[in-house]
Amino acid sequence: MDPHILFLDTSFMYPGRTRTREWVLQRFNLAIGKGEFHVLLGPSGCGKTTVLNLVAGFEHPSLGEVWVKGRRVTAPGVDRVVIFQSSDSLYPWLTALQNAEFGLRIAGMPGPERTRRALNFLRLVGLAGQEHKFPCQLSGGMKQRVQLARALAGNADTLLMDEPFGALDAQTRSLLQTELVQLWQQTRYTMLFVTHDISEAILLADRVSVMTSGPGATLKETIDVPLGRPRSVAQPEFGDIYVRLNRLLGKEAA
Amino acid sequence: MVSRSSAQSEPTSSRVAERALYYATVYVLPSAILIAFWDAAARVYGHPQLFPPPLSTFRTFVAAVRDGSLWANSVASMVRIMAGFSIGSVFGVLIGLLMGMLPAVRYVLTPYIDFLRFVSALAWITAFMVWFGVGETSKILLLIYATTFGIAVNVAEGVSAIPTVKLRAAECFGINRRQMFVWVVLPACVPFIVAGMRLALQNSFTAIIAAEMLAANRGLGFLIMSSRIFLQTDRTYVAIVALGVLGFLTDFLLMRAARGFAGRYQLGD
Repeated sequence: MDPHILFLDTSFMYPGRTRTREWVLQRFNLAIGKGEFHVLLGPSGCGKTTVLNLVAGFEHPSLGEVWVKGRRVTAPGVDRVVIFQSSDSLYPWLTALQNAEFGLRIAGMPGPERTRRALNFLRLVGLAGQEHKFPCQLSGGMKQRVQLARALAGNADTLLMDEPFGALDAQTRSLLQTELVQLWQQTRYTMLFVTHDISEAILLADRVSVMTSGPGATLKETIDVPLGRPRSVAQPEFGDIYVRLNRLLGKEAA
Repeated sequence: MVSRSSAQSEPTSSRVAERALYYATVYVLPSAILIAFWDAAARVYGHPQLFPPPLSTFRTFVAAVRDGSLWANSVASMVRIMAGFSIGSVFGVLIGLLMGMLPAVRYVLTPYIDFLRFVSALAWITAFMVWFGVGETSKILLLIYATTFGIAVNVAEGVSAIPTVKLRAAECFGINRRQMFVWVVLPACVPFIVAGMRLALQNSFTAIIAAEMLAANRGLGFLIMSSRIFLQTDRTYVAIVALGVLGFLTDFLLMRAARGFAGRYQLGD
């Protein structure tokens, strides 16, 4: 079967920055299957977000290629949607509902249908009753839920998540991790989830790819996480996988 | 930040009392302190004709209201300010948005703007009078000048301050350039537009007084200058207080309007 997301010898360097001609990524290769929950794990600053931006179409490979569903990525597309770490990506002048409707408005969906669909997804992410609040009236976790609702309301089949829970407190993070897995099990999006948190990677992923530290980062190793779901840190195998990932990552930590 | 929820609650008598107390402490009390200080200073100086105390200034104020001169001069200044400020604001916002959105426009205009914004409108008064005459045209053009660049710089800054993720989030949904401008860039810039307009309003008040002091037969600047010549210091004080009060009120109304029309665009995160 053709992979859903495919990196072929992808290298990346920021264009035009002549002072430090440094590779961010070098000969990066990765294949992610359709419906897979793939976590990209790496030390901070190694270029994980760049990998995500290449799939999203925000950045373009300097060498090599990125493919999604058998087509080369050249620009952002409505089939791939990003959940950003920063809630700056919400529009503070729009209510939670209007934020969730944003993609549908661009798609030209008529008002009533748009509102119905956005409300459905707000309910799905646990924001029923919050739809008329502005982002500044919502907690960090709720803002990420709005981002999720906005992403799900569109017609994407691929979610690109850039440390979406990185700025949340431990309890909220754990709750959202559980809910995200449930959501993914119901919907079967293809997930590319970036994090530097080993536990988060094990709790979420079908497979975890560990990156080397930058500059010139590349893929170190991809391992399967053969644990049943729902998962918990109390599972005995959890510790084994943690140790293994920690060893892989430990050599890369700055 | 959002007053929506509190505005819906019933205005009870305790809330009215709370408001009264608020205005008393924020506005009335400082005015009283200022007037007391002014009175004491004038007594110490001891020369009422050169440094008139509040009471005689107030008498002059009443006389100036009665004979209509305060009103006529205030209106003359305010009409000039409103004309120059509003035209200059439109130019400033347009230029700022173009500079923010189009690098070519930014590269071409930046050197001129970075030069001109350091040349105060006051420096141009004579030149503008030579080019455009001593009448209303030169004064309104001067205020357009005093307004435009400050707002343009602020708005251009506002466009480049938009977080990349705000733009990228929209790109994920296939947004086109026109939608990006109307739905993301413009609303995200509103706080910068309002901040720029506030500063520009202040610049307009400064510039018009100087222009009217040099060449005008109406306006608060003219009132200050003509009173000085006849050593009617109390009349210059009336003009100064009127100027401050008008500026205060105009700024208040501008902020009220900004909150009314564009309040939701100024919400923080």
